[in-house]
Amino acid sequence: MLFFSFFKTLVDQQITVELKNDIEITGTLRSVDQYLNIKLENITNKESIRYPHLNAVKTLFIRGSTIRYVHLPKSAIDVNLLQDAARKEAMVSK
Amino acid sequence: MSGNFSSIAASNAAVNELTSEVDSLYLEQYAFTTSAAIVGSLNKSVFVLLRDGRNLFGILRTFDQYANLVIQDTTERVYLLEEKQYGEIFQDNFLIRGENVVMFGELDLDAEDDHLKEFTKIDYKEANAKLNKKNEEKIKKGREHTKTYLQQGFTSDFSKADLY
Amino acid sequence: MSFFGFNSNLPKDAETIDFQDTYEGFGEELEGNDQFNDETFGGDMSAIGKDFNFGSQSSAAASKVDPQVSYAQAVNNATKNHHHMVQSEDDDGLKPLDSLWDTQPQQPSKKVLSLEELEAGFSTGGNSGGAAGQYQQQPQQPMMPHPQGMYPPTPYGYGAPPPPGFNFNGYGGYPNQSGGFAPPPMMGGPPPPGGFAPPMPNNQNYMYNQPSSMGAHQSAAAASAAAPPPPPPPQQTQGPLAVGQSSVPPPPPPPAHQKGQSKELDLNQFPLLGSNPPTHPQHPIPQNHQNFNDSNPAFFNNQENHQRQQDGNNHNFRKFENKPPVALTPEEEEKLNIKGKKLEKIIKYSNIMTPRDRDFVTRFQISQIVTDDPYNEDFYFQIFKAIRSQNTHDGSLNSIAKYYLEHSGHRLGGKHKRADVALQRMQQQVSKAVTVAKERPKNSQYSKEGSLGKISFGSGKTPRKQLEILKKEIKDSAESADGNAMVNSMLVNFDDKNIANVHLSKKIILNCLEKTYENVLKLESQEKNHEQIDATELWNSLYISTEVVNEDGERISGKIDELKENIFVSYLNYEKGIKLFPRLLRYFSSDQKSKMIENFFKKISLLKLLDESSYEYYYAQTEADRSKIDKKVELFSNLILKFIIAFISNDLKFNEIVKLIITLINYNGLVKLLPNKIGLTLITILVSKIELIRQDINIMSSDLIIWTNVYDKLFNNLISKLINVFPKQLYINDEISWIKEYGQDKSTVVKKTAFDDSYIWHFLASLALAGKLQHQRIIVDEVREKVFECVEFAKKLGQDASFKEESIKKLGNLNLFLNVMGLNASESGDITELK
Repeated sequence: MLFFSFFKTLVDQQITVELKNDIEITGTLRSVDQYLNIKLENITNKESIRYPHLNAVKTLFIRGSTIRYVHLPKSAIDVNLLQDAARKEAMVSK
Repeated sequence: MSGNFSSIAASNAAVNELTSEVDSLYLEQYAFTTSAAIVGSLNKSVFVLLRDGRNLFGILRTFDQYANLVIQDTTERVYLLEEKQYGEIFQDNFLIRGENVVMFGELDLDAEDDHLKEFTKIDYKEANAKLNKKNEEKIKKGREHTKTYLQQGFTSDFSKADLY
Repeated sequence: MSFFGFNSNLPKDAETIDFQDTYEGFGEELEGNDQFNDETFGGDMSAIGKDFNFGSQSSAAASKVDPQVSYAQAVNNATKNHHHMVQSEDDDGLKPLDSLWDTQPQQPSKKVLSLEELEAGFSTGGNSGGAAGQYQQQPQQPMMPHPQGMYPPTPYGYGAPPPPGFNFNGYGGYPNQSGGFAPPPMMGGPPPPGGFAPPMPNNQNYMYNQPSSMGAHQSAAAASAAAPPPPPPPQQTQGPLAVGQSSVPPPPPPPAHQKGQSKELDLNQFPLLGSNPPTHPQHPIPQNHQNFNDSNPAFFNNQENHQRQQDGNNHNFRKFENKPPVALTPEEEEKLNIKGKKLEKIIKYSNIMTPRDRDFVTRFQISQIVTDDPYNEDFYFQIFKAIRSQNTHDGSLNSIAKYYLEHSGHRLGGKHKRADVALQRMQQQVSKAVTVAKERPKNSQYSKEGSLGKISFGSGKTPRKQLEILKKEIKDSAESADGNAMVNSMLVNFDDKNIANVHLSKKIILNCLEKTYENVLKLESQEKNHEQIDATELWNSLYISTEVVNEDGERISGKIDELKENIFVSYLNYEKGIKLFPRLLRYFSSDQKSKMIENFFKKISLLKLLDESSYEYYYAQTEADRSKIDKKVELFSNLILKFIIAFISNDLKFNEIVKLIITLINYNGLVKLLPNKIGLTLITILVSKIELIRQDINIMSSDLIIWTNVYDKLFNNLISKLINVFPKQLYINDEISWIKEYGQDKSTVVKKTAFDDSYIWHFLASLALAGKLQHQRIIVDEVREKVFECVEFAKKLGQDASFKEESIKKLGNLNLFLNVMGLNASESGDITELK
């Protein structure tokens, strides 16, 4: 649940989602769920060529299993807190 | 002239705003669930990208927590980007199992067909055949990719089921 | 089954109530118009029954009301005579457009019939006729009176009859998607006059299922229901009629201005596109209608209007007020046409997923997330369990249901909620343990262990590697990734000869560090919960104490001293170790802290940061690497150095400090401390603290002697190395003498500050202060060059106006040292005796 909670803190941030097929989609994070499915708003896609219909799309729901990376703004993250949370999570699961 | 469109847009926006207000009121407590993310797109014109690379365009009617979707009056559209062509076929209604969805998004009714201006429409069967050929190429390359990586001790996440 | 309260379950031949039996005949006593008697109305009765026109000035309209005519008939009449009726409403000077009513062939018959059908349906079942009742006062609801033919042949718009199948269900499509939020207020609100369908059962559901937040809206809707019935735009009239299948009858939107005003329908509000502009410019509605001539957006807007009227927010209309009606180009019309078709499709089935369904999906998902035991609440699983346990018994559905109800942990019952599951869990664990034990391979091999490694003879059934080579570091790390276990096993197993050279790999150190982190986190959460704190485990994880004993009772930590490497100090080689340090401190006693410091000084030469920040290494690095080192140094200084300095200054006694210095000398730490800021600062603080104590009158003479000896020793170790406290090229080479801050583009220098050499002079000063004359002479001898260079540098600096202050500072630092020896450097560059 750690990254679920983590993403919850990032709602309304600009993020870029990189899918497993290499395309990147930038947008504002609107919602996340326990499977780390991501809902983005105000999509800008630098690769609109590959999916031409994305130009008419404002909100996008991306299934978590297809995401490879999520690029986040540094300023939105407290690294030390994240480390401690990861440690706690590891302790719980041991 | 612009008056018409802007006022239509305004009314649309207002209505959408109203509905999203409602949804947010409704689901405030349930903000971070799959359904919270999907419910806003209900009864809207959406496109769905499936894992096998298909693009479906239709109206989202129902969903569940696994992102299984029921799409009504779907058209499957095959894009051939290099040749700037596309083919369509009307597929009626779809029940899509959630695991096959890569992404789906709401389409702006006014702009959803704009991009088609730059494409020429061809027969669906023909477009599909071309796409299949391209996919075969993709699969071949993917297999080689996997082979080389494995030889070097790396893993490869290529799967021939994922052609999106 | 209950349909509108109609109980269909009563047997048909139940006793009926005979009206005549219960009629008590009061009605016969009434005179003609007694309903308007004095008690009820009192007074003038002339206007009663006639004064329904609450809005309009004249009572001309009132004359149109004919209480004898049924509502339906009135509407029928209206459709035939609408234009006559309208024309009589001349109060506001509005005149209907003749073109509207005269030119088109009328097909009222079709409409009227279906209307009557609907009427027939409603009068039997509808209980929202109450609302319809309101409209009885406004019999001239000429919504109907816009027969299809009236509209000019605009493409799919006002004029054209709605294409078959067009369902005005959503009355503006999209609003319905939310499960009818927007519509319900409308639907619950003013039911369409002219006998439109009362809210259908679906809508009733909508209303039931709306969250209470809707309540407000519904009351608003109810409020609007009380408002004068708004005339709907023409299309709406055709909707239910043409289709007759709408589950959501389109409620008519009240024109914004009509609140409390005239209730008569003013047909002038619906001028047609392309026709003349409305005669009355006041009304925003006409403008709106003109602008959205065809397609459903008109609905949206009207609905909007309705909403906004409810909200009292009409400002949006102002926008549209002054736009002149514009004829659409054919392509735009085409676009709207297409869009309308799309919307039509969408609206058609918009009620498939009710709000209840959506709510269910959400709630279900959430319940799965928050549940303690998913199986307990899993219906399928529970029933499956029930079935399996019942298959020896009767297996009837009833018993299964009973079993489920009793045993499951679902929210409506289940007395064995948790106990059952706990038992299950235990059983599962036991069986798991059993299977694991069974699967563990039996040790049927014969093995021999020697100093070279382990040789074992496997059986034919379980072939194994013949030779197992023991790694020097870790005996068997496969069992645990636990750093502590590794270290412990090492310390216990290795004999004394080898132990000194055991290399603590990065893996081990980091593992141990993570264990320490775990302990800290545990303590922190315990503290938060106000629980008892026991820091022994944490202390043990630092491997400082010599008291640590492992499970077998063997003393481990004694051997830690024998290790060349040191776990605790190695922690400080990693950023996360440095970051952890301040968090540790709060859990330790003063005693423990001084042990930490002792350990630290003992093994200080292991601190990699000292090497990295020493001048030779540092200045050989690239700019990027240097800034990395700088960051590390800063982190270290802030988090650790600060503590150490404070501790030494405040908490350590004389002999303890002396001990530390001796430690430094004995363990060869000094040489690493000189050529960097951190090390030099440490020595400085030690020496100056002792000096402070020495200057205290109460110091014992024995201590003085001790210190003199120690100082001598210290000094002997520093001789000929003192020059190393300076970067070689300091004051000579600009690259070193100046610290440059670069701008955004990394090429232009934003700020230049001189190298801060204060710590160096501090060190020399305290060293000189603690020493005798001969010591001082040696010191001066060694650093003479640098002194002169510094003076020169300061002088040059002083000549530049912007660096005047810096120059003074530089001299001041130097004089810290010089003054100790009775010398002073002046701004002019002379070194003279201190006055």
